[in-house]
Amino acid sequence: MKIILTPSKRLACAAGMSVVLILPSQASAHYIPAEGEPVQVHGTVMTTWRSASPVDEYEFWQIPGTSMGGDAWPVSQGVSLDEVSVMAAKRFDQNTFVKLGVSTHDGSDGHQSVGIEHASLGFVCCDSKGPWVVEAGRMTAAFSPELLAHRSASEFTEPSLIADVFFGRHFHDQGLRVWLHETAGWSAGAEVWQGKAFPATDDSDGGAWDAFARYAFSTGRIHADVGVWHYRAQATSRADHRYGGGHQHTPVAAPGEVATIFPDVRYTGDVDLTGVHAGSSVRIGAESTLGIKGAWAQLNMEGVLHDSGSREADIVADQYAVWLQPYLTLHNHTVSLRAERLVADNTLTGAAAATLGEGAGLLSEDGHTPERFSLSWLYQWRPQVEFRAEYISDQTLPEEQDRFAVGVVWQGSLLSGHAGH
Amino acid sequence: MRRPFTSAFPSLLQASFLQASFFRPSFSLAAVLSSAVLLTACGGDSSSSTEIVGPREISATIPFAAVVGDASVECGEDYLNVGSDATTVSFVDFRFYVHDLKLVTDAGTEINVSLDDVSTDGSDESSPSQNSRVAQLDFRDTLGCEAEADANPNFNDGVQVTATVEEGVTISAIRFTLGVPFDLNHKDQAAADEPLRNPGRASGAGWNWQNGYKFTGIDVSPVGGWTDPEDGERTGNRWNVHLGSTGCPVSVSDLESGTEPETCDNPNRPEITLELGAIDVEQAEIVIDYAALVSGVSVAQDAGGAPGCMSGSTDPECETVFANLGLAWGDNAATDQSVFTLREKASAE
Amino acid sequence: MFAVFRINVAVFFAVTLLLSGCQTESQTFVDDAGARESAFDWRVPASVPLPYEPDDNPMTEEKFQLGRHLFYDARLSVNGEISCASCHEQARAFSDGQQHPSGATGEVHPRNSQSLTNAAYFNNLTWGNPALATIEQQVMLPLFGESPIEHGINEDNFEQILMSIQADETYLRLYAEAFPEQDEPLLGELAWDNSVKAIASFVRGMTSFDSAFDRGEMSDAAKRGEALFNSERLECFHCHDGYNFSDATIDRGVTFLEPLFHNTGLYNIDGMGAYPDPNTGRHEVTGNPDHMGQFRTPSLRNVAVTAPYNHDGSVPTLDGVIRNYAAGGRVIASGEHAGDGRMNPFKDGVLVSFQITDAEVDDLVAFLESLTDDAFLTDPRFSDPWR
Repeated sequence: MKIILTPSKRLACAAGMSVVLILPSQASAHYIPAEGEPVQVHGTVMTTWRSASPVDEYEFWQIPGTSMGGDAWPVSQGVSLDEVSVMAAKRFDQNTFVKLGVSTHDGSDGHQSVGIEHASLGFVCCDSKGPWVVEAGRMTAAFSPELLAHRSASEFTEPSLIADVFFGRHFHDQGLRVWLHETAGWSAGAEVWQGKAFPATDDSDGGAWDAFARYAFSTGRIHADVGVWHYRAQATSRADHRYGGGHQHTPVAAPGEVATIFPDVRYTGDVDLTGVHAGSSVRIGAESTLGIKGAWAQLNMEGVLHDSGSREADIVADQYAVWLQPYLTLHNHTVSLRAERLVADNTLTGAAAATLGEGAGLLSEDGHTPERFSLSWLYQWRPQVEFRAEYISDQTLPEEQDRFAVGVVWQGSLLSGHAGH
Repeated sequence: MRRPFTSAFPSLLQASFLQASFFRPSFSLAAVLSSAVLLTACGGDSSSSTEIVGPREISATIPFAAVVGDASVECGEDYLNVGSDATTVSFVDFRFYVHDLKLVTDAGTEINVSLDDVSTDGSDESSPSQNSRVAQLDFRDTLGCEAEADANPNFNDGVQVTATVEEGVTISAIRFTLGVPFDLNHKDQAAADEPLRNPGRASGAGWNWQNGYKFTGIDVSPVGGWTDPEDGERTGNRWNVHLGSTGCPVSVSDLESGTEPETCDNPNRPEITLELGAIDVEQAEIVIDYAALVSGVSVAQDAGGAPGCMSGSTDPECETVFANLGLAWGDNAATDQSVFTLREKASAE
Repeated sequence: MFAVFRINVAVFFAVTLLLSGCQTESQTFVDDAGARESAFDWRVPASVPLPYEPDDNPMTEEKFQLGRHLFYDARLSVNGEISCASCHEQARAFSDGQQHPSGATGEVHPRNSQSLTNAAYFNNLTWGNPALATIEQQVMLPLFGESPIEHGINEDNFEQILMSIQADETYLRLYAEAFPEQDEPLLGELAWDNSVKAIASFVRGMTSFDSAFDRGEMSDAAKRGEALFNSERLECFHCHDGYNFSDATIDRGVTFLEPLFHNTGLYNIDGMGAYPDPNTGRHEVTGNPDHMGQFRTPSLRNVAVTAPYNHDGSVPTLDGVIRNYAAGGRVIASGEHAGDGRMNPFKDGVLVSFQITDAEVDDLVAFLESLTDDAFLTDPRFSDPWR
């Protein structure tokens, strides 16, 4: 694989990368309930109106060159209830805590269901402050901050391409986590998963694990953090459960094509993901902050594509996605700009390679590299209520689309006396 | 037996040769074996089998005879009292394949008997009745087994074999398998070596709808035809016994060479073992009796499935025919066969 | 600040190191392992995979042309009057418009002549035979079969028939071109084998993917019909799926699959699911009672010109076929085949009845008519070369 960087691209690349270094982003400081506090219940409600959806009715959202799945549903035109969640956490003795969380999940045909997102038991060792934390049960992944946070916590209504494409938007799985939690800015951990969460599968050959490390730095005016993580999974006959993976009735089609039955192409093989995230912010005034954050993730797939018609093809995929978000906060308003790019380099081999690649959406369009630019204005109207307005230039699909979004988010504590989550 | 004469030979002489067999002029087995018999006779009690003074290589033609009870099978003749309804029949086809011939010693060990590869021996026969793997017996003495037709050049009532027998070995039985070996049964029929070529000796013996060959094509025309006892409108004039493998799947080997074909659910290749008893192996003749083949079933009726028995696992006539052949069928276990026997051949030339 | 700067630099280098191995533009490289290589010009669209070619009979244009001559040659029959084209006419997508065809001796075939459209793409041949994998194996049946007698070539006449072919100079040339590796392809001992392989090559080359549907030129009615075809209510796509509208489709991209057969509830003559003899479908070959009445899914390409329909030609129109499916099976009120096929216990589980209006039936028929490839029906390439 050779890099061909035109001078302007090279400049942009370097500028972008160097910017990644700059400082802080949200640390998950309040993840573990503190001792002595009453039960914490935190809720979120997020509603958004959008001017358009990237796909029409009966079309499926498949970014060319990628293998999608999980809960990565396309945003829909009109008003939608993006997220409703309730999370409760309680530390009930010096060392033990429990977390329960329930949230909505999108389903096929726009159906929404409520599911248990989080049900875990944790143990803090060895005094009440840790620093070791062991947590087991159904959990959200902690290795990547954007996966850990709720969708409503972002400045943007649409999750990043890293989250949507590589992880199917959400990551809720059953597993075990061991975490060296926030010791003088450093934290690190490792997790082992049953594999119910995309991109893994849950069976004897499936499962996933990951490891991560993070450093957070803060002076009076400057906050910074940087982290790196590595995730590895095995998938066995993994389907795109949004549209396939079972007995599907509704004909769907790639945008612009005639509706036929979703080509249920499965993937069996290894999935390796490595990511870096960083952010920094500088307080430039009494109520003003300038900041930048971003993340980069690399995906390697090596395995076999296959379908019910007994077709097979080998696949080696090297993909990476990056997003970069500078932002400015003035009083209650935050303006953010997010630039995203996803580059896929796939190699398919076998007599059925073309058919399966097309069915799986893994064929990149010539000359098209998925990109997306989003501009958002967030107005914190009340401590727990915020309004957002967005403009998105969506170039992830071969047909470019511009759309607008306006939404409201409520997030806060459902019990008096405690703010934040 | 193959006749070395051309098909233009007068039919009278042909008839006289029907039941004769003779050995290759190069070796006189009779002399050897008779001396062996003399030796054993001198040695003491009369043995119930043949003791060979060996080791020696024996080349011979094992003769077969087709009969209906006491009468030998001829085309154009009527045969009475056949089947459970004592029907009168005449023959339309009488061919079958055999392979894996063996001689069995009194200790139970098998001596492999190799089939001579007649196709390469340079004789002037245009369609060999056997190759090194399988032999075809064809008892139609006339073309199409019609009464007034010309002689059938493919008539064959013997199998040429070679065997190596050790010294002091006593042969107590002859064994063979009825049918075409599995690995030959699913090959390209138009390019197969005779006697499996279709069209050729296997014309009318191909069974493509089940993918393979008819191991037996023994068909009669009952006088008055056959009727379905439950549906008087359903009749026919040919009652067939087509033995073949059933439940044969489409297989990767059909398209890609080098892959093993999948086996059929019911191979239907009965292994026939015939005890020599008091008969010399050299004098033995294998007899196939059509009356025994259809004993217990009526050839004037067909209650369902193919006319007669074509090995269908739901064909009611097959239950009795398969039992007579000693084959398992449906839920019935394999039994002893009653169709093939051994007898002494008529006086040798 | 210095600490921050150090972190910055460290991360920057780490990131660029990781990035340095990556592309900057998306691309996909497909290596189909020779899946589109063939000595024969298949003339199928790029999106359609190529069919299997048997190892012992790879496709060439010369074999195709020889097979075409043999296909239309009535000398290949006992009475000199039956050729393959007698029951497989090009204008009808190589079916014959009869309910039951008759052979050279007048014996009536119990089943309906199938269209040969895209015969290369089926993983088993004929209406209901799980033992026939290749066209070569199938071609032996009409030529040499005895029940029923079709062409009637048997041990009495095969030599004369071959001699009449050998006497034709056109054939001497065609055989030599088709089988250049053999010394005497027509006069030698592989003559019949070569003939079978050539006919099979001609049939295998009958590809048809140029209908109004393929070109995207469907009428509004046909588009509505397509939506119905793919709908959850009708579920036609369950068996008639893919680029060839049949789940019995196989091509080079597919590793071998067990052939699929379906009972569509057309008969129930004994109340327990029986189909009339001898057309019991897969059961006729396997004897397995569960296979009663199961037949292979035909392709729907060119279906509008291949009436009458179903394995025994007992349904004259597409309208009738659709209404049988709508009812969940066929009820025969009286006669020797009376019975309620809807109650057939062996009926495929996917077949439940559905509501459909007359207008929708017309739309669905319009869709099926849009699958007709007029070029295939008139292409001189598949026509009689002796004229």
